[in-house]
Amino acid sequence: MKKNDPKQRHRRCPLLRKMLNIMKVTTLLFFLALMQVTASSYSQQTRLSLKFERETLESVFSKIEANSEFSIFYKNEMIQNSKEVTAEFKNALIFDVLDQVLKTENLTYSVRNKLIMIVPKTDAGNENNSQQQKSISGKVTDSTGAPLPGVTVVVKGTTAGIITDAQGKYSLSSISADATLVFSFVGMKKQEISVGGKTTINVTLAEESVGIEEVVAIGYGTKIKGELTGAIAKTDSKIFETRPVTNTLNALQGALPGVTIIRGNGRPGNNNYTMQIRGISSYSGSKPLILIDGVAGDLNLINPSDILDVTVLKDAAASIYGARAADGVILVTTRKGTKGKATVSYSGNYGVKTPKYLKEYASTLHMAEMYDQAMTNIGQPGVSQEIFDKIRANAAPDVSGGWVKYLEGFPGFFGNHNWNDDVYGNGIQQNHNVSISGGGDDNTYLFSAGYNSDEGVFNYGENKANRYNLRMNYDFRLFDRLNIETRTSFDNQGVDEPGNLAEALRVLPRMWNFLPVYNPSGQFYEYIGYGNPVQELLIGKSTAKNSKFSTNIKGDLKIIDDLKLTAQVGFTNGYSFANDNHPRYYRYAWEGGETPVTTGRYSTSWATYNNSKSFFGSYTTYLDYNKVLFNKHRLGFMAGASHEEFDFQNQSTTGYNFLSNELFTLNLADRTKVEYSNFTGSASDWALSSYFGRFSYSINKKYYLDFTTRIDGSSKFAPSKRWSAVFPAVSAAWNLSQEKFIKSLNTFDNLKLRASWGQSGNQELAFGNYDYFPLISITGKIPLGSPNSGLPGAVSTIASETRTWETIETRNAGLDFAVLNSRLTGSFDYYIKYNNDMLVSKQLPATLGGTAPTQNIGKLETKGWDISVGWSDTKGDFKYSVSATISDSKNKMIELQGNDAYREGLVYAREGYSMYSFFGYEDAIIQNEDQLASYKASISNEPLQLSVGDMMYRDIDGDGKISPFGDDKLGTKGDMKYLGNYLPRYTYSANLSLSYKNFDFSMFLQGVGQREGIRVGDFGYPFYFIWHQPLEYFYGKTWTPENTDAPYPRIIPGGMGYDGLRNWNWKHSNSRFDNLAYLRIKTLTLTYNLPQSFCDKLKMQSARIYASGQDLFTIAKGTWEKSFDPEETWERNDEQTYPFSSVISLGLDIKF
Amino acid sequence: MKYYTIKTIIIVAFLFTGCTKDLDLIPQSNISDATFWKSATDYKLAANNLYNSLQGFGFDDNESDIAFSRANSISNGTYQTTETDGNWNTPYTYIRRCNKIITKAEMDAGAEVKIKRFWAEAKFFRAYNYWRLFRLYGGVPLITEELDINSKELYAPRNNRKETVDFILADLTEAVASLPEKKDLSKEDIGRITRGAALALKARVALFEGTWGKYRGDNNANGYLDMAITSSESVINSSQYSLYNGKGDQSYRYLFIEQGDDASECILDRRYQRDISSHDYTHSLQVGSYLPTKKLADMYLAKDGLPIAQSSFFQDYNTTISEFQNRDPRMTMTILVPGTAITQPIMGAAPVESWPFYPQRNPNTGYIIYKFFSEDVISNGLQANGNSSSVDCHLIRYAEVLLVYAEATIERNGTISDADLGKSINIVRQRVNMPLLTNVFVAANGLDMKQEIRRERTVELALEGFRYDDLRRWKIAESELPQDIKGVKIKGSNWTDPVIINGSNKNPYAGASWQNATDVNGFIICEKGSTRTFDPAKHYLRPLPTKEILLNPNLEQNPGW
Repeated sequence: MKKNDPKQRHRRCPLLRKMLNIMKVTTLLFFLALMQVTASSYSQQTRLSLKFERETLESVFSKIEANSEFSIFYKNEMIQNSKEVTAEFKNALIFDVLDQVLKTENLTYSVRNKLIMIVPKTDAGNENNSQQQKSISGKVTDSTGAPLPGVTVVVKGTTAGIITDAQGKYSLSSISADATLVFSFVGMKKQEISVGGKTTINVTLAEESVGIEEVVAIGYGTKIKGELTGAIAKTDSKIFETRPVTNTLNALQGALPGVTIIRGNGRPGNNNYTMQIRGISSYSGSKPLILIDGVAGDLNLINPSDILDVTVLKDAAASIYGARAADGVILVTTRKGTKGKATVSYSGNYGVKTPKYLKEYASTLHMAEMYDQAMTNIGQPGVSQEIFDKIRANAAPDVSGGWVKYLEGFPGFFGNHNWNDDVYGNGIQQNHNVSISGGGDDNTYLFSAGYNSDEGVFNYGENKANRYNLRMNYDFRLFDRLNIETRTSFDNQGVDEPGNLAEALRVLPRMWNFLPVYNPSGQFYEYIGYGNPVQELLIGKSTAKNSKFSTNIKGDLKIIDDLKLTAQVGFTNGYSFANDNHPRYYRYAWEGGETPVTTGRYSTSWATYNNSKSFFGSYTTYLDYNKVLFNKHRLGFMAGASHEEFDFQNQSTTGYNFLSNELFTLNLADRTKVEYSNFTGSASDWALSSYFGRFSYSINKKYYLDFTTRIDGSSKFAPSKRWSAVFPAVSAAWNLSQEKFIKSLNTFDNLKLRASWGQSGNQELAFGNYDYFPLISITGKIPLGSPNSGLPGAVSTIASETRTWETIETRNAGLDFAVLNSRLTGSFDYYIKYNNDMLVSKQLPATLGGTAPTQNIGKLETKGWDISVGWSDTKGDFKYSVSATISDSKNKMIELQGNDAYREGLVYAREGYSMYSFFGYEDAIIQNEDQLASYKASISNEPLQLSVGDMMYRDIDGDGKISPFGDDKLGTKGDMKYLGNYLPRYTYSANLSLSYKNFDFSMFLQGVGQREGIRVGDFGYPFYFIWHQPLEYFYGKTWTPENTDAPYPRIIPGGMGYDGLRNWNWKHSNSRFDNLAYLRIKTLTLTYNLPQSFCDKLKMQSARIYASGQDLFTIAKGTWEKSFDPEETWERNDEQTYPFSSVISLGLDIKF
Repeated sequence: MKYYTIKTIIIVAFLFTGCTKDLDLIPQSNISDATFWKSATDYKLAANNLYNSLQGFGFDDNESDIAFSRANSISNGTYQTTETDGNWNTPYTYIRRCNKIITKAEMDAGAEVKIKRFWAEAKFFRAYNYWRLFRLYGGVPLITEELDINSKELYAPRNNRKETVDFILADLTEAVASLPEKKDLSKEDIGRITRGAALALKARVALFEGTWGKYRGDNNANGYLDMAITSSESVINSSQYSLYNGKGDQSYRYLFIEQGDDASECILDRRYQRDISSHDYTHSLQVGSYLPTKKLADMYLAKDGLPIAQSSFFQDYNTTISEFQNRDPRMTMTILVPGTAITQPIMGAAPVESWPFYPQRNPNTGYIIYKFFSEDVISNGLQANGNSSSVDCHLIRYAEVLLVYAEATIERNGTISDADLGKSINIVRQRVNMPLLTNVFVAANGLDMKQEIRRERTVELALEGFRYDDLRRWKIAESELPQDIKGVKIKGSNWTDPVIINGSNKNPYAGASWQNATDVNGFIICEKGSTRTFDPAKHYLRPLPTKEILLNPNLEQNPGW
């Protein structure tokens, strides 16, 4: 019968659930204990006005619940036959109400905390079960071993029960031996334990993270999500599961609203991710502070499988981290053990990578047509019919000479093959993780080992990244009041690459599609002095190994019930090693002649060895005091200090002319020449001391207020400016859903308004650790003497003693809501950030003769918003959830104090505009002779050879010249205008999860709504030089008399004396803009959870297998026919991009 | 309670005293400025850096009419004002460093003689860097101290032309006294600045300003010309230098490759050493970055000392090698006779027949540069990335000093005696066995002495970066630069015949694209005179970078820009 089902009780008391929902769990245990003590005093003050007309007790109770803070427990059968109540109360105490409504029944009540238990008046001895009765006592703790006060302990099927005290202890008398105890507590998984013969039952409750009771890490402490006052987003470990991620940053892309992650390239182990929280906040760059279990760390090296959750502090909430919080703070918490018997789990996946968005160059025939146009356009003979015929016939090479200008001295080729097919292939990536976790009464442990291998996508040469991770998280209780947490990890990553990787990527686009890989003798053919990319991949070897050993010990000491002292010490030892070997090798002409080659700028074989080690120490201690007054005023104080220090050293040695061409250890290097002794080294350190504090105050779970402050002293500033920064913050929240007028709407399960203001600093600046005093830098090797020695030279730097912190002021307003039984949840934040003392390298006349030190003279404003919405529901066996986030950030350079040097194209910073804005001209293609004549008449500085099919630009300032800048004396402004911006806007993501019986399906979408770029570099134009083949993209897109609608002007080949006209046609202008917005299906995963019966047979707890696809589909416009990934960076020689890959993988997760 | 209090204190004390680092950190791998500047060693270290400001090999004559690669915006007058310009910024960077050394040394009352020498080097380099500015921009702001970011001198107007050049000359005069003679250099100091270098630079600057002024009606011109004469004469009379003759009649060519490093002729070099600081100049030459033009080729006298138009020795242009016959030997040591086998970058160690189009890749003028072309296979840039040549770049050599002496004399006096010719120009001519230049010879053949001296200078110093300055100071740029840039005769010559290399015809000149681009006499026109301009009201001086004018409103732009 359902009557004894505690779930049933919950269902019948929706308010109870709500009540419990709002109660904070793990961090505020002490409050709960205190509340219990003061409960009666609180309740006596509560007065109710209620009216009942012929109502059942059930409805009476629910009305009382709805109008008070109390929850009422009762057994259905007790009130089944109760009389209907008619009564009216005005400002009555709750006890008066209860006394009145229960007086005709055989019932009474007891009050614990805010729980009211309805019990029969004659409880004892009434049971007809006459088995042996006894007393049972015990203690309830959480998974860390901390006592849990306020846990409800009920004898299953009865109303007999009690709530644990401040020490988590309980005792029950007269319990029959076959009874079952039910332990329940908000935010924890319910546990049932049969009494049997035991008289002591100790219980550990496991956490259950759902909704607003989630525990969220904040600076120096944790809070329950419902109590947060700041803009804080959190993601859990699910984003790292069942998908083939090789790197944490890759997994985090799109997972946190307001956090923008961009991949630089697809190079294993060197993907060059950039992460920004809420856009740019400084001229000097924006880099969030990453804390792993409270200590600064590196997201590139950590094993994604070890991560429990990731929290981002976006607004004033970050201010508690002061000096480095300007760009937000990422808090990573690693997994820890859970009490109970050891659980062994294995997860692994194996994936196949396929390179995507390879640069496609024009087929030989298309290239010849474009070449013909290009030459004709400058009055030179184009491609003869004979050559076209040979191309169509795929004719054999003509050794007498090439048909492309300047390449006449090399054989002429007519075939067509795609070099990408030779160079690129599939790669394999795999992940394997094993973890063991468990724990006893006073300790928990988790050991994990991870292996990740990520192969490159080249058909030749050695290219892979291997990462090994070991972790031990061991927590124990030393004394009753002292808990120790230890976090120890060893991370190692090794990357192997061809020694000439960069050169191979540089020359790849320079290999015309007509070129064969091999000469007739079967040797790698070297054409016009460029290395053969396939051969380059096979030359030399570059190895980089990067290891980190981190340990971090944290102790929590409860001094008195309300006062806790926390001390944390963390150390990270880093060690890295890099070795590049560059052997001698040969290149081969068509005829087979060989040319000896050494890579790089040295005249012989050479190898470089680089070792560096670093030490990072972090020491933190803080006191935390919490008190609840009158059961409604909750006070919290936290004050502490921390100190961090970093030390770095490196040595580098280069050896030359090795005895062997295979072995490159330094003992085999040639030590006979002065110039062959090449070693260098450096050392550097910094330190940061800080004091911080927080004051929290909340009333009735409705009004929350947090003040934080932090003072930092950094070794990077002059002593007079060192301690000049105090970073205060204040944030407040109003939980509207606790207000009666909202409750009466019966709509919102949660509705909270938040507002914050805070300051934080930026010391992660682009200057050295000691730049506040003038230094002598020793550089260079100047050959003097006979014989020459490489003498060093000394230069004195310009320093600034007045430089100090950048202070960033953040304002945030936010709203959280949950409706429809919390099936629909959402959050919205709007923010403004001001950097008022931005360090800007002041533009001074060149007569200064040096680089001016940065000064606090700039002002930057950044505005934006984050929205996240989620829906989840269950229909029988079918569960589904959808969530989506979208964020925007835009900035404006308010003040640069004359440092406003802009130019054509991408401008880093210009007053009045967003950073990374493009400036250029308004263009149109000259379509006929009339247009040409009138344009020439209106402009005085057009190129002499300007003709139909070329660009014309609008003379915006009307001075008769196309000039980028104006002339103050003439009052002109120049002809450039703002064209667009390179920073991503409207970054969004969406996640869809479906689950039916044993199947789970999930799809993760990620994208950018607005972003623009202009591609430059030699291959950003067709025939930028006549000796560079064009991209296939340009075929049919350049102006010809037959193709007047073409988006691009007629082809003017470079290096033919028309470079002025070519440059004119390709000025930065509106038609060159590429839309870099995209929508990408980041992940598609189908999971099958093996049936429990099957698992049981194999003695497994659970098992699942899944298939996953990563980066499979992308919708994007400006990719130049899939030659550029929309995430690829813009202004550089694009040929050097290591391609991104899509991955299809199979995986397995097992738990024993 | 007490128990915990004690424990707290212990933990806190441990954290904040035992193992933390102070915030007063001192640089771990940098010397601070405050502790530097104590000994001559420190000053020497600082002075070493200044040698980086010496310009190395370049393609400066592409900016004039005697060399060409592809259209050059300086040469054809299409260059625009730019936002920033290394020609402006870089010298000031080194001027700051010079000022620092000069100020520090002067502050040190008891500065030893050893320090004084580096003070003089700094003076030399300050003059050298102001000269780099002066030759392009004219008068510039004269910064004589190490400026601070708040210094008002940052916003100083330009000093005028006379102030600037006088400042350069004064610095050089002061440096002379404290610099050693070349013979006094110890082995490890070979390559450092000498008294001769200061005097020779002084002669160059004085000649520049003397002739510049003379052709623009400046009354001070004669004073500068006198200074050019006396300075060059001082170098001559110091007996520290002589022309390089180590390779017999090929000495001129060998002077510019390994064999000429540290030759008796070298007064100031930008020095290179493989694996320390090297270059890939030869490689750049091989790919066609620096091609002599017809104008230069025609300037070489016939072997009888007469211009080709007057000499019966001249063999016309009708074969690929005819024009190279019976000429001033410097012609074939500067321009390679087509078809000659020499070692080539990329092509391996064995000599390769060289043509304008093979293995060269830029057949634009049809002339192949040979000057600076090393015989050392590694020097020739066999590496993928070049950067392997140790050949020094001669910035001031004795031949220039001799030419300065001759030119200054005739510009100052209108005439030059045979004795003066004998102690200057004829020494240069004798090295290459050319007939002596005498007043009688000039008169007998209807030549003009000044023009012959100018010709000698252009030919001797060809492709060393002097021509653009010469055209401007002689004020003939407006007539010389807007002419056609021409190359070899490919129409009506045997350049239309097949050139068989590796069994096939590699000669592109028979093709229509080349045949259509010739003048009436069949010479390649690389760039038409009609597309080239030189505005005398504007182009004699370079425009100051626009950003500098924006940042310093007191800075006046050059006329016409």
